[in-house]
Amino acid sequence: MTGSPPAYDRASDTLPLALRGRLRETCGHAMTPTPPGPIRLLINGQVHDLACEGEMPLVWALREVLGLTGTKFGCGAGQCGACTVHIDGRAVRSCSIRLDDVHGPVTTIEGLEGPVAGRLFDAWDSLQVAQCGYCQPGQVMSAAALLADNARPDDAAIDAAMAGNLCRCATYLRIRAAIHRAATA
Amino acid sequence: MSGLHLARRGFLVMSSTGLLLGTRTLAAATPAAPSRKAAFTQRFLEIAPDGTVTVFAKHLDMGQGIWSGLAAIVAEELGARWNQVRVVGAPARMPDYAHTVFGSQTTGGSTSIANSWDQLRAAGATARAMLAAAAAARWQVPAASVSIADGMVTSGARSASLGRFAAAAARLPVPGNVPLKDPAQFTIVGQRRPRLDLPDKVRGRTGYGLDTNWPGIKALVVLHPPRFGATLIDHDPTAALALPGVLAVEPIPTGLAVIGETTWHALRGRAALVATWDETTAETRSTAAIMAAFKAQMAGEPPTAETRSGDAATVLEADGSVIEAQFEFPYLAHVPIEPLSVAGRLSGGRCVLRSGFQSQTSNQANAARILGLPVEAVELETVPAGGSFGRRADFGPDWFDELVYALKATDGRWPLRLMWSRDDDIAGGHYRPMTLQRLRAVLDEDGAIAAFDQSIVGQPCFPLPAGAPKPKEPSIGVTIGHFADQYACQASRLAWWYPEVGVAPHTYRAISNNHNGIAKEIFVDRLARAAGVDPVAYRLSLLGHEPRQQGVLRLVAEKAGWDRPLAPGLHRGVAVHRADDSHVAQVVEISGTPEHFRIERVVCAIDCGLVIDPDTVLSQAEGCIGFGLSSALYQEITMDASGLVEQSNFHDYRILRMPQMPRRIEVHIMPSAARPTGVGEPPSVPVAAALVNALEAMGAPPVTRFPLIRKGVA
Repeated sequence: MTGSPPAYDRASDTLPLALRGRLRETCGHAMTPTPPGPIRLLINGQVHDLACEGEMPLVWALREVLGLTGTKFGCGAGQCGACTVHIDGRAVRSCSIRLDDVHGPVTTIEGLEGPVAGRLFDAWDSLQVAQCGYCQPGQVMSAAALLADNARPDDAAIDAAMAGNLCRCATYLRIRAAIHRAATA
Repeated sequence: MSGLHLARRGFLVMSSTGLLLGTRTLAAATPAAPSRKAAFTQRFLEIAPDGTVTVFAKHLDMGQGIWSGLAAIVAEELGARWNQVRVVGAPARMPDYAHTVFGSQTTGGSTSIANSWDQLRAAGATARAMLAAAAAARWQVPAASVSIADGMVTSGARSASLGRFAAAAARLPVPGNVPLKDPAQFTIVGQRRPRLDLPDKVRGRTGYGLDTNWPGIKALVVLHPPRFGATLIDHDPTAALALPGVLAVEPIPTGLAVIGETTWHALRGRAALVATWDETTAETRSTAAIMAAFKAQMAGEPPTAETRSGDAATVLEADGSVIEAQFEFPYLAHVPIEPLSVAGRLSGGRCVLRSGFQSQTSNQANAARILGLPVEAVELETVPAGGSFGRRADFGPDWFDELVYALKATDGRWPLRLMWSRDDDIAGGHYRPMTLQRLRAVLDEDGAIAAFDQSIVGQPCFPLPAGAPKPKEPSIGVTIGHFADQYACQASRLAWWYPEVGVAPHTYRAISNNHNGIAKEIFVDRLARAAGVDPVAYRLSLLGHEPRQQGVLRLVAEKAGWDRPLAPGLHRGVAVHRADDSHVAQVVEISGTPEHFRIERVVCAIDCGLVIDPDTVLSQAEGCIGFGLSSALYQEITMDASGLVEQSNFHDYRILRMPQMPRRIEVHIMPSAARPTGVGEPPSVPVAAALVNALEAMGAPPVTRFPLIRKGVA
């Protein structure tokens, strides 16, 4: 097992300056909306022409316009990672990117495939990682992006890559074990 | 294992293409039908001709693996294959699916397995007997020669799928008092089995409440007042309605409902609303002021209610060496990752609601009342919830009602799906109550507790109904898990002050165990130090009447190597607790300094009776430890000097992230043949106390409040 145990600092636990204050939805609440689309996106290999406003965050287009509910909504502020998709293979929080800023093919959990994805799903199944399961598609998407970048990550690299994905059921130890298993399969 | 205790009522055969067993009961009066005396039937178990076995689960799966556990129980007794059993959520029908303890259809208190254990075992065994009898009749062989295993019915050289005899079995009389399987013969219960629901969840195929996308559905969000208890005076929807995609704005009792084409359109519309609020009866105090009021109430007023055993007061007043501790526990929000959500549609005098319901009959009754419909006209589709931790239980006006009010206000024009955004959730009340605890004890010359006093100020987590008279007994929403209920005290008093606070309380994982248990375990450690006795040995000496707590304490001490000295730089703390009839002990080992420490290892021992699936126990224990550490380390809901909640999202209401999760968690299950008891809540209790005990052993000043890490400002 690599990596040192987590450290907790009681003396001062500081919030980054940029995050102080109320953090509401990063919804792009433009008061003068732009006329809707068409916005052309490539999602899971399929072209979609969306009659949506450019400010709409990608997560809502996926879930409520296209009905792809595998990508979950959890916080709307880029804090929980439940909405993670791939854009051009990179992990992106779809709640925090507007449709008109999406450039590149989008992959959601429904379209995640290939040998690495297969090993991740197998590892998640055999280690019985999930509890309520709601955050897990986002966890798998982040893990897949990590393994695409780093085929044999150590604990520290996994922690860093996965720190943006919250799990309220705290299945973290199994998530990490599943990533190791998928990496070395 | 005790013999079969058949339900007071036997099983009956209900209409089906195969064999459908249910039970029939005369209805007790219900809140929705006070004078009704009808008979209700409830489906328990169905075997279809194609061999599919369906268990009707009255409990909610919110991540604790309940549905798979219930399926295992049935498969075991029936002789089915593990993978031919499927679980569906039972429709809400009170008192059909009445929880045998709560008396309504609800899930909570880690009671699901214990509650269904007898009923489903009996249903499985009864169906097995009837299928065997049908096979015996068809094959003209003695019934005793028929066996059922792995989904196949066999007699000598003949075998067939158990579905083959389902229809024939349905025509036979239902036997009573069918013997149950000897646990020593179990091949499914007690084995690690893959949970049926997980592959779909991981692949994003499972539909949670928020995923409901019925044709024509529109999105609903609600503008709430900024302070608890404020009401709407006036509003201007013009700017909101002018925005594309905003369909309607309607006042409802809790604020303003905004309906949009998508949730994003609705949120954007909500941000454009202008509203004025009447705050004359709102809660405008800060949480600091509320806690100060708690202290004044405890010091200056007689308790609302108290219970006494012997005369502790005299000893405490007379003895000069009273050991005393005080703890402040903050409001906590549950923050399940799936936002609170419910979908509904209303047409032709019928209403369908869809969500991860946790209090089905209550939700159903409330919806019927709001809509002016008979209860039978409201249908609930229960789907898995993306976590609950107690939040989705229903105690009075809450998000479900808002959806129903919106359907009513729009005459059911559109199917609607309501979502509380993350800041709605965090600032929305329904918290684990803020609680002030004072514990006092006098020890005798042997270190035993001669007198003990526990004083608690806090709202009960089961909210009192509006206008209810002040309680005369300490509420179980405050007292479960208290000190003198578990440790031997020669004399004790439990006093409770009920505070008037305009913040809605709610059940939270482990309910009042999550402050009583922590206060108890920190205090008993200080008593051990005062008595000069090892913390494990001291607890054992006070738990003579609780052998199962002694058992897990000894097990955790053995596995943690408690009797061996620690490596230099390491310190450790222990805690033990009984919750929901399960028993959990934990040891936390830390390194570093009190101000900058690392958790090196957590060792956990759990006795939850007969284990249905050991992997569920392991995963729940790990998850509970992470959950308990999140609140111990980071979490508090605070209100500023004007009563505004200061937290709004996961940046300032924090959950443990992967880098903060202890790396080594070792879970040991006590072998037991006792009745199965829950694991979803009890392991979340001791870890905070064990950590504090380790910190205090390391030399930290006595802890008086949570969270341990307070928000700082750069």
